[in-house]
Amino acid sequence: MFFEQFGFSKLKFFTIFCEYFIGIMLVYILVVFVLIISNIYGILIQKVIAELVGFILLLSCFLILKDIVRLNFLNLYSYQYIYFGFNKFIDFNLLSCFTKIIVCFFSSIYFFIISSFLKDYKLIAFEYILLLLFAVLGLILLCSTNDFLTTFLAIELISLCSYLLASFRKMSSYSLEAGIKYLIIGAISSSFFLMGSSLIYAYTASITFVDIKFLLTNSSNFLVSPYFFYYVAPDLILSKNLSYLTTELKFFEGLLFNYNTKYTFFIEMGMVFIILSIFIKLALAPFHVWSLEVYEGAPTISTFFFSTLTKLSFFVFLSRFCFTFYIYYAEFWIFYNAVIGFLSILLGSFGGIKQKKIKTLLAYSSISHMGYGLLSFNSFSILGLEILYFYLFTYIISNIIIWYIILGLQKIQKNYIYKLSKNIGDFVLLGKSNKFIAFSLSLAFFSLAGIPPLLGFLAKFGVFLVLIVHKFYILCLLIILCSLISTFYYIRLVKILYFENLLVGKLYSFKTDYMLIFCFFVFLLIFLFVKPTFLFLLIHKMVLFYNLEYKLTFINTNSQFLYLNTNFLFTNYCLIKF
Amino acid sequence: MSLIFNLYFVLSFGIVISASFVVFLTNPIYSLLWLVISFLFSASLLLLLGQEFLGLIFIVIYVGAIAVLFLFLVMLLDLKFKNLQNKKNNLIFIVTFYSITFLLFLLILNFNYIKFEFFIYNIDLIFKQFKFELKFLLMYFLFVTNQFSFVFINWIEFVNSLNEIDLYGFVLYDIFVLQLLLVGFILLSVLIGVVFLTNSYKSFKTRDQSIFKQISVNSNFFYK
Repeated sequence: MFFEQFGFSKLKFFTIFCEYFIGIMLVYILVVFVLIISNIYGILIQKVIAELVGFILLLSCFLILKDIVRLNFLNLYSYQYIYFGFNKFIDFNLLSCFTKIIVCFFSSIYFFIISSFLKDYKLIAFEYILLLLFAVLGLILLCSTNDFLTTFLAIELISLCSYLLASFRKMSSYSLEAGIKYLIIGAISSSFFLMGSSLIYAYTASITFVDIKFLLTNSSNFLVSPYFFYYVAPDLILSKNLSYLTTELKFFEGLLFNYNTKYTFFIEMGMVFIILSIFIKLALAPFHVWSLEVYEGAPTISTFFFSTLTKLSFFVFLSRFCFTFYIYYAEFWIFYNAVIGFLSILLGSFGGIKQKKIKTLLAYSSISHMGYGLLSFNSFSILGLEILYFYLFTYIISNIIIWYIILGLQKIQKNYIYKLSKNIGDFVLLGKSNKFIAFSLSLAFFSLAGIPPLLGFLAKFGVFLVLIVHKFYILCLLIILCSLISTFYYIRLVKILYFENLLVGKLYSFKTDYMLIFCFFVFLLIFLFVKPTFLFLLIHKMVLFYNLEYKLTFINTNSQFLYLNTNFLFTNYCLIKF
Repeated sequence: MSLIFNLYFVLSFGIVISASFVVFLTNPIYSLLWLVISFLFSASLLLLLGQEFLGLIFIVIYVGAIAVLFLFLVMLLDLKFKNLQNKKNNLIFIVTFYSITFLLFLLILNFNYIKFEFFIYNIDLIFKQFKFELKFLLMYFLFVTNQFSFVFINWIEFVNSLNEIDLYGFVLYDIFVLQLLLVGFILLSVLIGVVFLTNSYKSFKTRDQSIFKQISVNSNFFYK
């Protein structure tokens, strides 16, 4: 057949073993548990399913490692031989592989952690874990998507599962309300995404990022959608020279898609739509309103999922999106991201001051941290990308510690199941009753605040460093002031843990099923501050691919795209820098 | 200009007007009828563009299945939306806030690049393109997958030999396999969740039909 010669069915392009494995296991678990086990054992099997899903995700980590070995055999670092699977729908480089591993590893740990708490939080149905696994599948796919259609579907898989996870406790009206709010806002953001991608498709006639970049770079003056070539001059396609094409087609100057003048507007508009839809998903500042209510209303285990695990893969998509073909429109997205990142830091640091509910407080802190990540990404450099991934890594580690303690602490009362830790006041004098857990909780809050002998300090320091290197002086100063304010509510929690003016604190029992993982993470917080070289090396290797791309675009191409927007660029830079 | 040009504008304005009626009418049945009309307009637009299969599928699925399903739901639930008209919602503030922020972001872009004359000038040509669009999309995928190089293929023979339905099948099951599988996974996850949310495990009793009660609802003979 004709499509075999183009490599459709070659194994070389098959790059998603991990996703296939998870998908097949999902269907297998569903069939086995529905038909056989749930009728016999029922609720008893709940803990085992969660652990099994955790093991599946650990095994899929090994499958991705095998992919990385395969990448080293391929000649990765030369620009000509970039490998894409599935007709370029899947990006296959070190960034996607390493981020997939991070997501898989942390989500497997998440499953191990929640396995002992599902019974206490009354999430007994096995559908809960299946929906979580569906969402993780979407997250892993989002790390490696390379076109609009697949990203849209992956985001939908994540978001549809998370609406259900938010509204899973169907007897409480809070959780149902949270689910419906999440659904409406998610529908708005996905419709914006579709609008933007359709605009870009209309003016470039392609949906994969690589092809759009190819179209934008390899034509000096004229750019035509590929089917347009066929319509106007079908004979020309058969000739092998592209240069010949461009010289011939000057005749059709009025008809052609002249990207330099007319069509940049529509492509930028599509870009704005897509970026803003992802900002809604990340709950950044002007679009953060849903997150506070959803995080408070949803059951705590699913809030854990929303606040820690979902953030990384959206940032991977953003970096792939902005650093492949939106390099040309960098001036525009730098402006938006600076405004939105600053607003989210401001709101996250001021909003958390008056909060007494722990989940809402953590929602505010997550808003501010996403703002820091966005600003480091916004500096439009490789260093900024590295710091972004480092920041997200530290954010995930410290958040896992905090959520583990919030899930695990239970008051000893008559009906302790209904009174799980919700307010800040419930942590009163934990330092006297349980010293180790209070110490680790305070360490995690200190690392979120960015206090020196901990991992969070390096990340926050890196963000300030990047901003100073790229001359965003005033922005950097404002952010430092905001982070000072945000340390207030982190330190207030530590004060409640140790120095509250009460004689007796509330007694606590703590489940110690997976204490080893917990201790490992607390160890990482201190150890990675002393010796962060491994992490830096890994992240540097991750971003190395974009380093080449970054250099090549500014050396090889004619820089007409950059010159065109200079007036706009100048005004924006004036606004940001001075 | 030409007939197709005028028809295009008539149909697209029809879609816009019917969609606005769907949003602004408070009676759900009327808004549903307007929804059906908008689907019919869009199906005829697709027929105009030369994609008969998609247009007919639109009518069969959206009008025949989904709109009728909605109508049944509305009639069965017997919802009353009288409260919606009088109540002042806080949602309006949120909506205006969102829209103003989006507008601000769009206003920042340069408006100098737009030239709307282009649309009018080129619209006939665009129609001719759209007729071939799917075929060229297919061609495009074959064309680009070969790592940025041009290889001789006898396109004319290839394009003419394909039926429209064959082409859709090829696009769905061969180029977009991964996306098709993903859509399947999305449907499966939603199905699991909806079954969980609507099903009540505590009461497994089926609701039996009590014929006596049903017959004696409106009769004055029994209830006096």
